[in-house]
Amino acid sequence: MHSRAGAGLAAVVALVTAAAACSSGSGNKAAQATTSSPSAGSSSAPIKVGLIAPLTGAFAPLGQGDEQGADIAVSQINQSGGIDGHKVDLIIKDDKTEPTQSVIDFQALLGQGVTAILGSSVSDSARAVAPKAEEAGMPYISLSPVDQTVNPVEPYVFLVPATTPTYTTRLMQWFHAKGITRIAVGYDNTDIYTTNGYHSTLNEAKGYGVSVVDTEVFQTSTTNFSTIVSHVGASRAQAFLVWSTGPASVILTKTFAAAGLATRMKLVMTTSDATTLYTQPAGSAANGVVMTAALGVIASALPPSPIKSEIGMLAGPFAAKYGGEPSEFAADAYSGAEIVFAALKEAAPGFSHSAIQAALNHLSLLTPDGKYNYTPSDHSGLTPDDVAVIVVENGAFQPTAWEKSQFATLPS
Amino acid sequence: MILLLAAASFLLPLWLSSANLTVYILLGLYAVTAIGLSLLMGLAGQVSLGQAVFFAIGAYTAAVLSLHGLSTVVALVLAPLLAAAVAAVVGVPILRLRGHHLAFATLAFQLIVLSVITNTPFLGGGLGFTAVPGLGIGKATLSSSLGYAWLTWGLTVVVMVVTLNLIRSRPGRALRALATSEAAAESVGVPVVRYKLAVFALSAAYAGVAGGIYVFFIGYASPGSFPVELSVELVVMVVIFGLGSVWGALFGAAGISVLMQVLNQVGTLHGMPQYMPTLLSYAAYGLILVVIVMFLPAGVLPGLRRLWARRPGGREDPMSRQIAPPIASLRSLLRSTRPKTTRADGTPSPEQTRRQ
Repeated sequence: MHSRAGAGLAAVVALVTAAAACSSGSGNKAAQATTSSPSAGSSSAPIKVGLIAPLTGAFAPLGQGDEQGADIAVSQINQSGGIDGHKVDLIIKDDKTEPTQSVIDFQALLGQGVTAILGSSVSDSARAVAPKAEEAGMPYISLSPVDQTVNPVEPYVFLVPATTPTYTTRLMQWFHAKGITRIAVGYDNTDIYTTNGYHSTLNEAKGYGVSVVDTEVFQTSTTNFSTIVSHVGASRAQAFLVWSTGPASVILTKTFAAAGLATRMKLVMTTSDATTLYTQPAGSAANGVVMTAALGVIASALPPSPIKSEIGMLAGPFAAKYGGEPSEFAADAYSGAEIVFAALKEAAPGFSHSAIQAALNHLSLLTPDGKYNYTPSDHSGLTPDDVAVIVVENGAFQPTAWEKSQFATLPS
Repeated sequence: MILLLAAASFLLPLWLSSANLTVYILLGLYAVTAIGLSLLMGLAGQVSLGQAVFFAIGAYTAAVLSLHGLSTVVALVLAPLLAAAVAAVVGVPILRLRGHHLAFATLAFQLIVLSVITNTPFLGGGLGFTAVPGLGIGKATLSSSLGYAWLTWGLTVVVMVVTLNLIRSRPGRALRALATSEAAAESVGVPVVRYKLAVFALSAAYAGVAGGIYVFFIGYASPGSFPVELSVELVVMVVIFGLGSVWGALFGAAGISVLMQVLNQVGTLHGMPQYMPTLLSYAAYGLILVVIVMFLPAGVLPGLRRLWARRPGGREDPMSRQIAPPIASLRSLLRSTRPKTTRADGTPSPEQTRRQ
């Protein structure tokens, strides 16, 4: 017992010393940056902006996109001289797709004196951290498509991805234009984005003369959709609207195609599937599938326009550095970063949290994700015109005929 | 010496930054859970790959009750009680299993519970609970991290004292007999089934109260907060320093928590390549577990003690070579593809005889 306690005590003393050393290290940083502004004496001290992203864990592909988009935005602004003469220092934290870790990351960023935080695209992380950011008066720009983030509006919390009501309205406009009045709806009840999407659909359908004739529920982990597809096939639906993410979307699409339903019913997916992570595995089953997406996804089909140039500011460097098209997540992070920079410009030279928040509250900015018009009562900032209704053709995303007819009202 | 450690750990929160204070609190909560798991795995010889489920049950009990108006303190008291009750009920069928089967049954139980929560709106469904109130009595709520840190410190001390006394007591000795051989224990009159259930329920209670404090501190709970990875992390914490050891579980929790945070920090330092976070979090962590299981199956501390005893003039303690059954079964899983060695004269090696 004595030798064990002795060895153990030695280990713990070592741990405690290490922990104290780590904490005094970050403690010093906190002391230096208590006012979150570059220290008065130095006119070129960098402005710190935090990014919490799922770099590891189940949502690592999302985190990778977040990191890429934010990184390009920061390089661009620094190459053009920074903000008010100060370079931007992007501090990235990995939340491991875990809400507990995201809280630790938030507090670390708080201690490091960041001016604003771009929040994790993981909905669990966003819902754990947003209230804490609000409490700390830290501007939090969320990259996670969670409607509740801005409903009700919290003074310091802003949203980058569009809300499900916005996506739903755009889809309803399309249903109306195509004369579709009966739809089936399927949704993943384990995900907040998809569950919100379902409720938004129920709320808005009637207003567009659309009735929901069948509802199907599944989980992100569901692998067998034959029962669901046969129910939908037996219903009188003209379209099957599916709020889903990940592999479930692919399997459902293939089951739908294999059942031969594509000839008499439209399969409509949502923005979460506007990625090659969906079209590649789904293959030919995805042909003709309609979905919502950010305008950046169909950039090459857009007429010359301010939004097309804006998208190009991301797409060009992205293709050069990483190859291929930027994902939805890269676009969200890039747009979020642009929003933060615009607010920082206005909050110069103090860059205080309250000045940044005030700037955000009347921000009007065109980004690859669309035209943001934030107001004190609207922290989402986007409208249905910022959303595109696209169709998959031979693995590529194209605007639907109806979307092309809407090009006159592109955001600018 | 122990008093020095207690004093040092009590005073440490005063110097920690906000983020490190959160790590300290989580470390303490995981330590409490790990001590319970160490009892279960080391003393009672039962493997659990789903111990985080009781942490989750404690958290959800506290969250649901307090969001429905019950006092947070009362909710915190009920959290371990409900977790223990669930363990007592589910333990009846589950604890009849052994080795790999028991391990997978506990894992399956966690997945089932998470699935039930996801599909039950009353329990928050897949969306979970935000705005869980902070711990408090009446108008006074515990709002500072420092307060939670000391509460966690207090809980850890109480749990350690209780557990250390339990191990030294008569029931504790009976439990140790259980871990070595259930048949032998039964033959000297140890009520095996009842004891296993009791330890299972006690370990669940430890996890439950830790989960309760967790949810009041973090203020958010969803199925995604309690993944299987957490259960695996708890097993690593228990295994690394020695099964059945209360101090081992404490140091394991501290060591793994700090290590995970250090790996997390290093991976995202400026200038690190993009693959670094993935490399550090998976490769480094997995490597540690494999090394420990293969070469130091009784844990780091007993392994170090054996090495120390093997020095010239040292005396080796035969008891220290004992490998607890759960680690023996993990080890056999890893070694089952290697050819067994026999001695030159054809007789089986001690390795072979022992494995029979």
